[in-house]
Amino acid sequence: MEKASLDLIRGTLDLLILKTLTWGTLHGYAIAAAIKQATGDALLVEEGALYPALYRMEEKGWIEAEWGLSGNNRRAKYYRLTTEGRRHFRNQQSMWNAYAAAVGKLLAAPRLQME
Amino acid sequence: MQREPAWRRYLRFWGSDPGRDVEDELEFHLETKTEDLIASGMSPTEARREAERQFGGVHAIREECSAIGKRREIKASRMEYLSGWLRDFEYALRLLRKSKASSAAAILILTIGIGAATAVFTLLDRLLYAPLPVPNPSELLLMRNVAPAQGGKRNPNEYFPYDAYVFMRDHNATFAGLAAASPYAPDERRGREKIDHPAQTVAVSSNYFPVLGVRPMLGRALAPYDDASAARVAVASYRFSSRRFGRAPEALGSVVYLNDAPFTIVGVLPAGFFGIDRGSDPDLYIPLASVRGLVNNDPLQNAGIRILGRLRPGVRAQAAEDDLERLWEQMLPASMAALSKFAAVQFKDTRIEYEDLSSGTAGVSGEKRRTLMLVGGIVALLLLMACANVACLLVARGAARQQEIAIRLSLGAGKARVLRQALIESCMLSVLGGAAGLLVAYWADRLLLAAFQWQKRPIDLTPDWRVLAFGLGLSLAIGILFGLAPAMQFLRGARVSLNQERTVAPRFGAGKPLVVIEVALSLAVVAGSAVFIRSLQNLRSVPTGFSPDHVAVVSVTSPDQEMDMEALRAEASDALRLTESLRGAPGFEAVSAADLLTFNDSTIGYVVAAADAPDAKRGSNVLRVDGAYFNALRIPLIAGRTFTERDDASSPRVVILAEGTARRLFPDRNPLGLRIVLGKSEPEVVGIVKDIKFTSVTAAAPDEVFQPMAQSECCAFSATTKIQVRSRMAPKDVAAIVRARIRELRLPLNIESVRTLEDAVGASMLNDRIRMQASGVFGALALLLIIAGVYGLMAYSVARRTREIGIRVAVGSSPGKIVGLVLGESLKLVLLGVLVGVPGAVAVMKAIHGMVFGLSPVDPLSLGASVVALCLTGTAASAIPAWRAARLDPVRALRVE
Repeated sequence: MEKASLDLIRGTLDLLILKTLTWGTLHGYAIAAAIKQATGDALLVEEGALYPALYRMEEKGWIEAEWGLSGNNRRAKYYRLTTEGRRHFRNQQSMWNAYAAAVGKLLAAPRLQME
Repeated sequence: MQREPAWRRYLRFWGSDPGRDVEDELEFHLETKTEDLIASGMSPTEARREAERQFGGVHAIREECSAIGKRREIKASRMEYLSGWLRDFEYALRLLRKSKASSAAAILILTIGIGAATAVFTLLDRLLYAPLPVPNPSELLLMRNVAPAQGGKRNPNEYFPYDAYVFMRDHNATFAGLAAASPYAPDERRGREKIDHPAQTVAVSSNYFPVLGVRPMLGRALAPYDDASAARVAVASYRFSSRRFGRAPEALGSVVYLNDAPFTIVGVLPAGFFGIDRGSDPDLYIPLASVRGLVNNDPLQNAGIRILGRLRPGVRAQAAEDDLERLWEQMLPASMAALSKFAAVQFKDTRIEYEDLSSGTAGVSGEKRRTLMLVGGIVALLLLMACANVACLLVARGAARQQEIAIRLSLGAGKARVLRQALIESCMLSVLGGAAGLLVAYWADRLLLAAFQWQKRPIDLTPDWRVLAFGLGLSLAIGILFGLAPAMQFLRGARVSLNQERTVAPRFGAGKPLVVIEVALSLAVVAGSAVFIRSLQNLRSVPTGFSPDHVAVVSVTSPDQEMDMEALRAEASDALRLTESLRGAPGFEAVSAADLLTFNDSTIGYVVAAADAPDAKRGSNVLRVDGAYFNALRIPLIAGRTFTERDDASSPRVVILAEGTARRLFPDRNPLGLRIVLGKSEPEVVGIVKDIKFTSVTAAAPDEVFQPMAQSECCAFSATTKIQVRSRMAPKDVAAIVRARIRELRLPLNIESVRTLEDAVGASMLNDRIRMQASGVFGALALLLIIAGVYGLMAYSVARRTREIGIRVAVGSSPGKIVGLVLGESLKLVLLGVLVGVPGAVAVMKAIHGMVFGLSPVDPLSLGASVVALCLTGTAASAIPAWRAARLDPVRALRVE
């Protein structure tokens, strides 16, 4: 069965990453897997695109990284939300919700009487 | 998540590597993905390919990530660096606030040092070094002729005969233009008219302005036809134009009278141009030829020409000198023949030399220049002292922080960080001191100018970028210097203290010699100010021959502007009537009139002689007074009588002589009843009074002849009459009474000014007072520095010897003995410094002897007083450390180490 996969709307990737990191400290692969799992593979995230996004967010100070050992005893880079990142996530989240609600409202609206 | 094992971290010992990090991270992702895919049943090769496919362009992503990583790394290290500075600044500020006393002392010392140095720099720069405000000033030369050295003394002469100038101007091959200037120019004068600030004139050749490269701001410069026709035209300086005419454009076309000849102003020069002499600023530039017949000493005939020129581009000054030397030799014989014998002799065997005119000529005479250099030198030394002092203070302070720095070093703070910390701290102090110093400098410069009697010179003291740069540069240099030295001590000492687990104060071996040198230098400064103070005292104690206290002087004059002889006489008799009517006014003890005021007026000189020996002439001041003058000023009558009302225009002419005048005119004779020749009359001597000083207290009492005001028909020159009122009232109350009386009597008189006679006498000592103040300030600064220096050193020494002093106290030394120990040490240093400093002090006293009254070149009292002052200051400065040492608790002191 072919699943409907949506191309990611620009800028949404950051929000997704931040959301997954609210659950705890994760490495890149885990983030990709979490997004896949949580959306039921509905979103098509090219896994590689994750990393530039992570680096940019680290530069902006939303997340910070530390090297650690993964479950399979390999050296992996773990990401964690900073306070700044948490604040940013909250803002983005409410913005996204408002945006989605507005779009949804319009799509659900009956034909309006135009003057 | 487990932490990465330590050994892996050590791989990254030499800093992070963003490229490798990205590599590792992406590889981890791909491997994990591959493993997951294998676990779901793919073959390893297939799984790897699938992982890479899902990942996207590995290469592009790796590049992008490592670019971001690198950028972040750079930014982070920069932030780290900046925040390090910020932390150090905060820390330095905290220290500054924590040790307020020693910080304030350091800043104060630096303010003094940097302020004094900047003040002297500004003055030297303005007087000697700043370039002329003209294009390419480095091309300008001033020529002079120098006779062969005689007895080691060269005597350069800036003045040339006019024909030599013309010959050189027309035949040289090295100058773009050769101009002439002469100070022998007519003064501004028009009849008897009184002119405020008469114009200073200079005569110049018509190419003077083109050679200097200055164009007039308004109107035109001088032109060749002005020279040809000896036109009476003038180009005015901007200062003069705005001073005299309010606005510069108003000056154009105006007429000024120079020795009664009308000159029309045809141009106004740009602001800031002051000719070529530093410290002078001619008001009017007139054509050389126009001077003819207007001055006694015609520069065109009497070798009164200065020659200045602008080199052709690319010509060296030496070549130009050789060129002119050749011309000078050619034409000298003819030129000398044209001059009078007396004038010609000065040019015998002279050679041409050039003087660099790029900064103008200093116009500072030898003595003043030497004094200025001396002051500059002393101030530079004061500055050095100040630095040494601050270094002492900081080292003493640093000793206390030894432990802290040792800890910081052991915790891994880099030496660079510790150094930076120390430098920030010291630069902060020095820049604060420097900023305050610039203010001090501005004020000190005014004082110095006044002290050298250059108030009237157009020297602009507004600090410009040169001065600001000097002050700031000096501050930073000092900051780095005295920051670095103690910091190095910290570092060296810190190693020791870590090894030995205890604080060892760093040695500061230079401290004692520094204080000795400081004392030696201060002695010179303090002795100089002592000499000036004594000189002023001497001046004050010189008897003037009259008693100036409680005498108000009201100057009255007629409101007429142009007064002829008739009007002058009318004014004098009106003033006499007024004086007469003021006698007996309540509160007025004595009232008298005179035409001139002692100590603050011109003098009127006459040739007088005894009538029976008319050839033994003497120059004498003639003062016209009424009979009450001697009583009002308390000038004792020695013999004869004073003037009475009967000595008026209709009665026989009489005079009173001052004692010295009488003795010199009539040696070995009683002059009473004898006659003298005064102008056309032969008045009889009716009285003799004690000598009075008339213009200055330093000069001997001049020959003085008193004439009754009512008989002065021959010669009333002063348009004002000075009414002396002896009373206990304030001068302005006296003036009010005089004014009321003038109105009452309806006299055509105005009150011109009111002052006390004391002020008039004091004004003649103004320069001496200013010198005393200026040198006093420097002397006080030197003493302040001594206090700081000795205090710093002794405080430090006591801190270092805490243990030793503790032991002494423990074994029974009395507090008095401990105090004696510390005071003795400082006194020893001060005495040594005094010994070293005596030759310098003597040299300074000799150098300033020309400005000093009534003292021998090396005044032992001044020197002695300075020595005592230094010893007392030094001892006082070490009193606090001594007291602290005496109160030391032995138990605590011994626990220190």
